[in-house]
Amino acid sequence: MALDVLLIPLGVALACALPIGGLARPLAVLGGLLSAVTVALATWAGMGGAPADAYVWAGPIGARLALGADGSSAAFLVLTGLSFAAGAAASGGMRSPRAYFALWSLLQAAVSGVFVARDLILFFACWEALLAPLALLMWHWGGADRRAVTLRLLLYWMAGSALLLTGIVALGVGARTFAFADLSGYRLAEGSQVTLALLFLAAFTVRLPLFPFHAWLSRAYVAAPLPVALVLSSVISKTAVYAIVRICVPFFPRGIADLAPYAIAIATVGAVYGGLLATRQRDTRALIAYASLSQLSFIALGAFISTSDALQGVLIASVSHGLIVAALFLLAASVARRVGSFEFGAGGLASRAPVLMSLFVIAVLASIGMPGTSGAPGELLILAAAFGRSPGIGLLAALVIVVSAVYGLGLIRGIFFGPSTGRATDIGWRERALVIPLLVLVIAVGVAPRVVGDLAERPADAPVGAR
Amino acid sequence: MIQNVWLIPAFPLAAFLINALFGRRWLKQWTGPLAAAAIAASAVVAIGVFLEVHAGALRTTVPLYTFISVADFHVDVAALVDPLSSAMLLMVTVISFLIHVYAIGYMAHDHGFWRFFSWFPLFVFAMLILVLADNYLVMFVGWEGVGLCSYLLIGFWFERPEPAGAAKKAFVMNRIGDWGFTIGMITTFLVFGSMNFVDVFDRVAKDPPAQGVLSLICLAFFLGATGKSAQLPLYSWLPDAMEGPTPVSALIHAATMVTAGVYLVARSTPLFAAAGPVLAAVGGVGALTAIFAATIALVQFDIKRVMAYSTVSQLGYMFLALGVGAPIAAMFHLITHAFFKALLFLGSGSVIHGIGDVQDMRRMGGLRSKMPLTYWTMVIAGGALAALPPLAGFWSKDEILGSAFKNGYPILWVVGVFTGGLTAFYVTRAIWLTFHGQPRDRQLFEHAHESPRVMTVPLLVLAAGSVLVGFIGFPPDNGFLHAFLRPAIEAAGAVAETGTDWPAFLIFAAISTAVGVGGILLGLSMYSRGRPEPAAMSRAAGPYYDVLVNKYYVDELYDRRLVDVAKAFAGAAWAFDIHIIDGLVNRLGWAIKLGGSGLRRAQTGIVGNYALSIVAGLLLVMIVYGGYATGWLHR
Repeated sequence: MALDVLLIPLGVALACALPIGGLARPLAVLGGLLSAVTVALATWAGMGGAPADAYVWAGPIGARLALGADGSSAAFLVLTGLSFAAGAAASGGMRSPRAYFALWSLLQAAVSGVFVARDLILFFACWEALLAPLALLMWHWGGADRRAVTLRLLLYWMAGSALLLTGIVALGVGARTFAFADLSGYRLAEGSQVTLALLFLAAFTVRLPLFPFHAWLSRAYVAAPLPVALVLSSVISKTAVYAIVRICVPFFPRGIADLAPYAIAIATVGAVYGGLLATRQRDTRALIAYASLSQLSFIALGAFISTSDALQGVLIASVSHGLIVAALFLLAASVARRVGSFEFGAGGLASRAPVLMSLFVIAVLASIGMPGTSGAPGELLILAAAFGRSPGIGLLAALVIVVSAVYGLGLIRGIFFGPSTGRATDIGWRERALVIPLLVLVIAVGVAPRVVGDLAERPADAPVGAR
Repeated sequence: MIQNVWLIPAFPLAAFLINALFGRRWLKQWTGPLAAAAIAASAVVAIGVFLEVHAGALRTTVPLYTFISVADFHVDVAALVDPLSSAMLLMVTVISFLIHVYAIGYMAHDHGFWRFFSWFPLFVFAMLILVLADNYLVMFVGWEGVGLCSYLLIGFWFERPEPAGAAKKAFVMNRIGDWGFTIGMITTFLVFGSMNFVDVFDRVAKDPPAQGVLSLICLAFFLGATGKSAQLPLYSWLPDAMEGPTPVSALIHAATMVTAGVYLVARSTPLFAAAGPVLAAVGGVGALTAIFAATIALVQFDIKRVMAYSTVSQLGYMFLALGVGAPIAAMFHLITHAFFKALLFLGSGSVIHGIGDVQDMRRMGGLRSKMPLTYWTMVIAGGALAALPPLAGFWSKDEILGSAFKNGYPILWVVGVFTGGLTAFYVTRAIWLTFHGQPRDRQLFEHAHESPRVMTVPLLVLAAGSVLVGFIGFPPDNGFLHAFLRPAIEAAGAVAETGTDWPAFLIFAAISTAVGVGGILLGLSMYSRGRPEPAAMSRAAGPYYDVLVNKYYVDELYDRRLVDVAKAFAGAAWAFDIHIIDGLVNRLGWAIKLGGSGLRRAQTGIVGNYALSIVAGLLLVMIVYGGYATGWLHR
């Protein structure tokens, strides 16, 4: 299964080299769905893959092509498949579709690679490899100001990656291995843990992003083509969450513990700060960006607390944010098609498009943590962990409950309420078919969060592949 | 029947799903009867459950599935069926059913009919989850769910600006309360290791935690209760919520949702009883809210707003009862109030419906002859609100006031009795302005008509309730309701059994009835000789009148000043983001460019210079490496 999620999108990317024309998009959608279903089935069956050793890749430096997946990888892989399928389906009318979908599928492969890599060098390769298709997609297919924004994002992320590479080399040289399996048993000297954790976190927190490294965020969400913004927010931000939980927490326990007070404070401030900024936005995508800053900071808060409650909360909240933000971007696009821009405030769409409004309201309410949707249980687990850690942090973090209501309802009101303006049709079947499955999952996870939460406890399976 | 208790919320949920999916295209006008039938089915099951509890099934937990389970954080979706919840189930389903029937008539000509009857049963579903929950987390699911439906239904007529604003205000204020609920819930879990009511209360009884922690938990929950039940300081959303359709005001903002805070505190009696001073604060806030809102109701001209402030005031009485250690009296008043206040709202709705969507009492008058049924039922409800014997409100309110005095809170008793006089006055005023005197708007009067039977029959049923429901608490302090609820609340040792103290009862009843009758007579004497001009009133009452008309300027304070402060925060954050976070990046780019052009001069192309820098670099590396190797640079 771990290998399949790489081969499927790579196959799609290769197929795009053939003159398949209009088939590229359905193929990409299929690739996403197939990956998601493969992982979901394997997880259902108790995780697959013949236990065997990994390929030796770059022998002299000890790097191996080790793949594998634990419960949280599986959750993120399903999310990746779904988001990429939804994004591909929403990528109608792109110029040079074959190039677009080839890059799109490469991006999917690289992102999946981050979640299945069981070797630090391979992890880093995938971590960096996703930059190239991402930047090209933004550079060629983006909106106004796309070049400057792409450059800014690249500079930010590569600065982080440079520090990450330093950290990986330092860790690997010290431990004489890059394999996750060996590293988790390796006890790093306590003194150097803080330094190494900082080097790793530099890259992870920039990509997440964590306050104050978010200067690229809202511009990227606005300038990127909408499907790319969708996966950027839904999945690519989760590579950072995953990396913090899968690498920093187990490999540098001491370092994370020492840094935790500062990191927790920053994440808490970021959660409230992002929410406050979201109340000021008048562009739907920018609002989603700052709301995501708030929610991702909240997730990071849970990751830094890293008790088992908090980590289960992190997993549920991450999957939830991924699903909800994907739905929100699709719905924002539907709204923009009807009113002509992503600006909101004029209102008046409700009587013209009642079904669109209902779906939008569900997505927004889920996003602001309404119980009964997936937004609530993860938030609650993280909040409980925050209170357990320090009541002051808990009280402050709980303020997002109020702030999120302000920006969420402001968005609904600004798009839908008020006297009817102009002529618009309701959401069509094609658009519905994209959004409704996502929202059904959002509610399913909200009603039975255990389905996702229990995956956090699922141990990693053995690496797959043969020598 | 108890094992099937999950059917009770399942019916409204099914009605919601069917109406939401098929209502617009296919069911149309059938959505209303379908929703009402679903609630009727729930009510039948609720009656069965109630009878079974009455027959002796004092506490049953009906689990459904496990919600979250991680380490010691384990929460089941389970129902707790005991006297308290079964009484609430019965009240909620019966009142909901009546109001659903009424709404079929009231909303008949609205083009959002199907939408209304999708959200209305969804509300009932959420309310039933709130009532059934056996732990704080599932209760919170219902708690937020009713808030959501309230938001949707206040904003039902979203094309007008007022409902949209009122809906947002209601939700945000409720979320401030929910902040408190969340804190209380999580602190409860951290202190007791569980969110389950039964576990938590057992642990409070056996091994109470420090007083401070307990007070914090109770204060946090009480903040949640003030938001949902519209108490000071989070009350001001409720009058604005009258922008919603009248059945919504009757069901959500009078009979059921706004009592959720009372239910929460009554449910948590063991916690609050152990927290001591917080309980007194609950009583104080309740009394203050009661008199505060009643004074505002004196001068309102919008008939629904009079009722809204009246609801805030009556909810204050319930918190007063909780605060003086009389949770049964609070639940008693909750039930009687649900009947007569729902009736007052539905009666007002019948008037509004009959004269074509006018709510200003200054344009009514003399409607008695046109709407006799509405008039008489509203008189009964008004009498119950004014606590005239033997109507329902008399028994419950008198018990609250008697408990306040007997349990050592004479000041709260005085406030309560005085507020009773104000209540009698404003309800007399409202009924007189609406139904008596000369018609003040001829055209409206000519077109006024009595409502159709689908609306008046629920009025009659509720009127019967407003007369009879008080007798579930008869004889005072020792009636059926007391015997029924006592096991649920006494298990915590909070309420001692008392017989009826007839002499005391008669004295208290005489005093408060006298004050009530005084209020009515004052109202009649002022309004029967023609309406006093507001200008004349203003001159006579001086600045007090202005303060009341402006609702103590609280809306100005909240909607302007406090919102301004919050906006200033967001603005400061935005400025910081633009100038520092974003600005610094731009400045950094500029610095790099500058540095680049500076460094370009180093690229001289002369091999000697390069060699020199390589050697220098090498030397530096060797020194640093050597320093580390010898431990000279190490620490």
